Formats: sequence, structure tokens, C-alpha cells
Amino acid sequence: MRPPGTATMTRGGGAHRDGPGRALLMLAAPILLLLGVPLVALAVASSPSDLLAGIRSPVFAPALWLSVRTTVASVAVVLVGGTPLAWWLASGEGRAVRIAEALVDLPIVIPPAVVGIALLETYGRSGLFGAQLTALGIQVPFTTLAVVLAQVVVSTPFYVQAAAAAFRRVDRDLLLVARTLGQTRRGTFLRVALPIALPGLVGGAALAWARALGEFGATLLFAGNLPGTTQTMPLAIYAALESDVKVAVALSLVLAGASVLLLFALRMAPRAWSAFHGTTEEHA
Amino acid sequence: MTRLRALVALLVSASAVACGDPDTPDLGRLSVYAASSLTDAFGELEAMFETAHPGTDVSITYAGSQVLRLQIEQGAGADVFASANVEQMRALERADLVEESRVFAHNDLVIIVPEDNPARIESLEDLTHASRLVLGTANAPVGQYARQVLRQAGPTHGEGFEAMVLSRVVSEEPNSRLARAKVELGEADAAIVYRSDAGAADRVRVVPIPAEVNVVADYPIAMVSGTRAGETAQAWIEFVESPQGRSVLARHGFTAP
Amino acid sequence: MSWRAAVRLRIGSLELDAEVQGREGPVAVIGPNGSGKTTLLRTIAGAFRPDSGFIEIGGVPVFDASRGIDLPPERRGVGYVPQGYGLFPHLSVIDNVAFPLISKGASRAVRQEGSRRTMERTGCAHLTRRATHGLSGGEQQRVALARALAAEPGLLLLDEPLAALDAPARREVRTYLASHLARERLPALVVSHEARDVRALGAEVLVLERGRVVQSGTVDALAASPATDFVAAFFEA
Repeated sequence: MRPPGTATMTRGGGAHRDGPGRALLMLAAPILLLLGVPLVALAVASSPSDLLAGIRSPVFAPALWLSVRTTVASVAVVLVGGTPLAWWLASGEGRAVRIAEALVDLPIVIPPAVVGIALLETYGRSGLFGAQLTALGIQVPFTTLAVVLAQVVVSTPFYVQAAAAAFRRVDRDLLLVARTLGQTRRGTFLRVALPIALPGLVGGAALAWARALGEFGATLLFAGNLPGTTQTMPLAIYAALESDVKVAVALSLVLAGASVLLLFALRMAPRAWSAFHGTTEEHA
Repeated sequence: MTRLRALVALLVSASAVACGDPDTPDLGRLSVYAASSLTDAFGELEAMFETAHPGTDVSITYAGSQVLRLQIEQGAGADVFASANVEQMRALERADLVEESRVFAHNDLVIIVPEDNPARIESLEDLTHASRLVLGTANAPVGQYARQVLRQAGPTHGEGFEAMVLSRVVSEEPNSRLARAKVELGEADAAIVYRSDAGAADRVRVVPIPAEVNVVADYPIAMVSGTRAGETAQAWIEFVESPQGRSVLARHGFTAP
Repeated sequence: MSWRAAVRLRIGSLELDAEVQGREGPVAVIGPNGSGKTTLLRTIAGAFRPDSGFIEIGGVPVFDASRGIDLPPERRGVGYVPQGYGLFPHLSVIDNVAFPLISKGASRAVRQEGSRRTMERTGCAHLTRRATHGLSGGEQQRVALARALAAEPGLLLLDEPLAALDAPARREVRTYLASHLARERLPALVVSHEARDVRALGAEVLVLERGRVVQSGTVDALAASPATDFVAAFFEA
């Protein structure tokens, strides 16, 4: 039984008297085409032999491996740091929370190239921490670490926003009940808030991963472009365009395919979770 | 309400531009695709040309020549192409995408280092102990020229010279201006860029490359086939090759062919 | 097994200033919407910190502004059942009821055994194998109560325990609640908005209006001489 006051929008099958009429849907169609057709075009652009040649090219494997390594590391960092942050944003109040929220949103609105420049001005040799880092013998630009840093900066907002929203959806009463049943604040977070919010967190992590995977501008400016060290898939595609377009298309297809898979997982996760655990939480 | 009206006017005029009549030749517009190393020189020429030909609007797109070649191959609306090496131009000539080209300027390479020269680079040799060297990508003309220089230095600087220097590369930039930027920011110990780029650079020092191993970069220019601004394109090319054009190029570090 | 609380608290536009107490058995709290009934329960549970006052449960002070005592909810020994019952959707019924035993360090097997026993005692053993999302309102209520009782609280806080039930379930749970509270001899503070529920509980009644106690006494006393229009209307039905 649902708590009183929650509406249910049934999905699928049957005419919806409240949904958009035909005229309104005509406005939606061009955008759908704009999104879908280029992907189809990409898929049919390469013949299987072109695709194979692209995969066999020497830039492919190092770029793919680098992208996988760095994005896994970035997402891990984002999860570890972003989850408590999201929990704080969801449960806290006051000016500090509002400032933190704005800070977390910033990388979404700032162009990636600007992020790259800002990172250079911070961790570069003549940057804010330049002298200290050099003294410690640490170099950041032109390293794989820089790639991870750039990815973390641009993908954090995607996770933290989704995670905070998921935590906010957890009924406050459940948290109080857990406390009265003997759990500390930490116990309540780990045993009640986290499991209930999990589908939303997973969705957010997938978005963050996709963003990290596609990161280009900040990486190019801050980390540089060196095959094997800093040339991630997007950078490799850009470089391949200059030499062999077929390779670029093959790389693009692989990246697009990976992203589609991620999206698929993102969509299926809440449903799979519900089936497994028998909850009624629906996360769009 | 006035704001809304202004936005609507902007939208209307923008769409009017986008939907120009395809059959009337547009004598007033010229689209030039030029190698990024030509930015300052062509910028000056643009202003002079527009003054000399009132009513003409020259718009110049700067990028690595390899990127521009790709865009022209894909049908970009360029009227004139000025490349930093003949290879990119020949590719387009072979595909009949440009008319016959002519070399209009020469450039050569120099090493630039940050003002404070952290890696103490004083000569081409010293590149072997730079820890952060930046070159152009293997497809960008400036990158190809740089590698050519390193190869040509083999006889005088030792067999493994090229390989040793290449092992010092930490990043490959898509054009010479980006490579220069890394040096200006103090991130790179050194970069090999065009002499023309070194002149206008901010807080860098120039380390010359011995003439016997240096390359002469040939800059060809050509009209793009099928351009509707044929007359204006021709005028531009002639202007670039005129004594006036030459002196502007010379002032920016280019030499005459 | 007695308890008492005198708290003053400002939250939003509500100014709560109430003194309540009880011994074994239920105390009912009634009042119009927004009068602070739920806030009172949550404050005693430890969700809000009063500006002044004290809360004492089973002789143990869990909050005392003058002495700087403020125990967190997990140490107050209260059992809180919110409106909507507050069952954890990600846990099965048996794991819900076993939840209080986690903080006591019991292993999963021991917890589930304890949970089964509590559910037998409270007459919902037939629900042990169920998941939470298929339960009817009445069943959810029983499970929520079993879970609260499993924590062996010194005071039960029930917020509108019968509100979301249809008439037959209501009758059934009303009887169930009354008999269990009597049998367990547990002190309880029960928010209600139905006169029949209050009468069935046989409770001492407290009337809260705009954050203040405006009348208290037995059901008959209140029905006979209501202090406000609300009280009069409440017992008219």
C-alpha cells in the first residue's frame, strides 16, 4: 500500500489523456531525430573491415586502456569523496551547505577549457601550488594524475547532484526510527540511508563515469596529449582525425558503444534492483 | 518587452544569414582558412584588405593545417587555403579540391624556452636533458618539421639524437600556438615552434637552431575549387603576394620565397 | 515505569510549550492540525533539541537543559512509530523486526531468532517470510509495533497508528493495540484524531492546541466539560 498522497503515473500502453497532444509531439520529433540519427550514421559509417583496421591501429589500445584506468580511478575518487558530501548537502542546512552546493555545480557551467586553464594555474609549475609541488618533487601537468584530476573535477557535479537528490528522497522518519532503534548517525547512514538511496547513487555514478570518459578540453590543456600517458580516447579521436579518418570513426564507434552500454545499465539498474529487493522506489 | 523584441530580431537576422540565397555569388564575403602560425600576419592583412576593398568582409579561420585540410575535405565553406606545409596542400590538389597552389612565404623553426629557462637549454643539443619538451603532433606541420630537424641533426649530433630528444616529449600539441602557450605558461621546458611565433611570444627566450639542420617551411596558398567568391579570393591571394603583403609577412618573421 | 517531559521549543511558526507525563499504559494526545503533536513526539524521541526543559524516561533524564544533558535518540530508550509506519523498504519483515538487535551486536541468526519470538508474542508471526511492500496497512502496523517492542523501549511514541487504515482494519488494529499496550504495560504516548480510538485505548487524554496543553484528563471528564470548541467537537462523534 502506498503512503497517502503519492501519485502514480502509469507507464506504457493506452492513450494518456493528460500527456502531449499530436501538435506538441511534432515539436519533440526533430530533437529526437537530431539525437538518434547521428548515432545511426556513425554505426553505418564504417565497414567491419574499417572497424577492424581502426581497432588494430597502434593508437587504439593505449588510448582505450588509459581511458579505462583513469575513469575507474576518477569515479572511485568521486564516490569516496562525493558520497559523504552528498549526504551532508542532503541533510544539512545553512549557509555553508548552500555555498558548497554552488561550488559543486560550478564545473557544469564552466567550459572544460576554462577548467583546464584553472587547473594549470593551480598545479602548474608557475601555479598557486607550483613552488611547493616542485619542492616536493611532484609534477602534475603532463601526467596521468592530471588526467584523473581533470576528470574528477568535471564529473563530480554529476554524481553529487544525483546522490544528494537520492538521499533527499529518503523519508526523514525512517532515519529517526533507525536512531530510536539503536543506530548512531553513522549506522543510520550506512544501514538505512545508503541502501535506500543506492539506485540513485548508481545512476549518478554512471553519469559521472560517462562524463569522465568523454572529457576532452580540460585534459588537453592541463594534462597534455601524449599517447599512452595522457592521450585518452577523446584525444586519440581528435588526433586520429588528422591522420586517418577511418581510425577516428572506429574509435568514435567504440566510445559511443561504451556510452550506450553505460546508459543502458543506468536505466536498467533501478528496475533490476527493485526486482531483486522488492522495493517500490521508482527512480527516473 | 523590448528585450524580447531584441532577441527575436537577433534570431531573425541569424536565420537570415544562415539561409542565404545559394545562387547569387556573395562578392562581399571571403572565408580564408589559414595555418595558426599566420594568425598575426594575416590578421593585419585582413584589416588592410577590408579597408582597400570596402564592403568586403574577410573572415579567417586559424587552426593546424592538418585540421583545416580535413575540414575542406569534408566540404567546409572555405574560399582560400593557406597551409604551413606543402603536404596538406598537395593532398587537396590531388583530390581536385583546390586550384594550383603557389608558395607565398617561408618560415623556419626555433626553440623557445620560458624566460627563466629552468632546464638551462642554450642549444639544440641541450634538448636531450630537457625534462619537459613539447612538440606538435606528428600530423601537424610544425610537428613534422620539428621531427625533420631532429632527423637532420643526426649526422652532427649523434645517431640516437632524434630518439633521445623524442623521449623527452611530454605532450604533442595540435598546432604551434598551443605548443608556444605551454612554454609561455612555464609548463614546458622547451618547445620547437615557428620563428614567426617566437617573435610575438610572451616571456620566452629564443634558442636558435643551426641553419644546417634547420628546415625551411614552405607556405603554399591556393583558391578552393568551386568557390563562389572567385574574384575576391584571387584579389586576396594577389594581395598576400604583393610587396605590401610581403612586408607585413616579413615583419612577423616570415621570409619571402 | 513512569515518564515525564516539559519542553519548550520553537520550530518554524510553531511554539511548543508543553508539559506531559504518564505511567504504565497509554496517554493520548489530540489536537487540531499543526498544533504540534508530531513535533512533541519527535522532540521526545530526540529529533529536535528543546530550548529549555527536561525529558525523563523510566526515571532516567534523557534531556535536561539546566544540567546540559542531551542524549542522542539511540540512547533514549524510546520506540517511535511514525505516521506511515516507517518500515524499512530495503529489508524484509523479519529483518525489520530484527533491526534493533543489530546495535546489540547479535549475529544475524540470533537476531532473526529474536525477531521471530517478538513477532509471535505480538501476533504477527505469520508475516515472517514476507517482504515489506506487499503488506496491508494493518499488517504494516503490527510489524512496526513488533519492531518497536523488540527494542524493549521505556516509552512508546505512536503517531496516528490507525490513521491510514480502512474501517475493518481499523477496528481490528484498535483492539490489537489496546490489548497489547495493556498486556505489555508499556508507557505510551499516542497521537490520535479519532474519538473512538481514544476511547478504546482507555487513555488519559491530553489536548494540544497551538503548541500548548489546553486540557488534560480522562475521556469522560473531557467529554463532559470540554475546555475548547475542538474538544467539544472531538467527543461529539
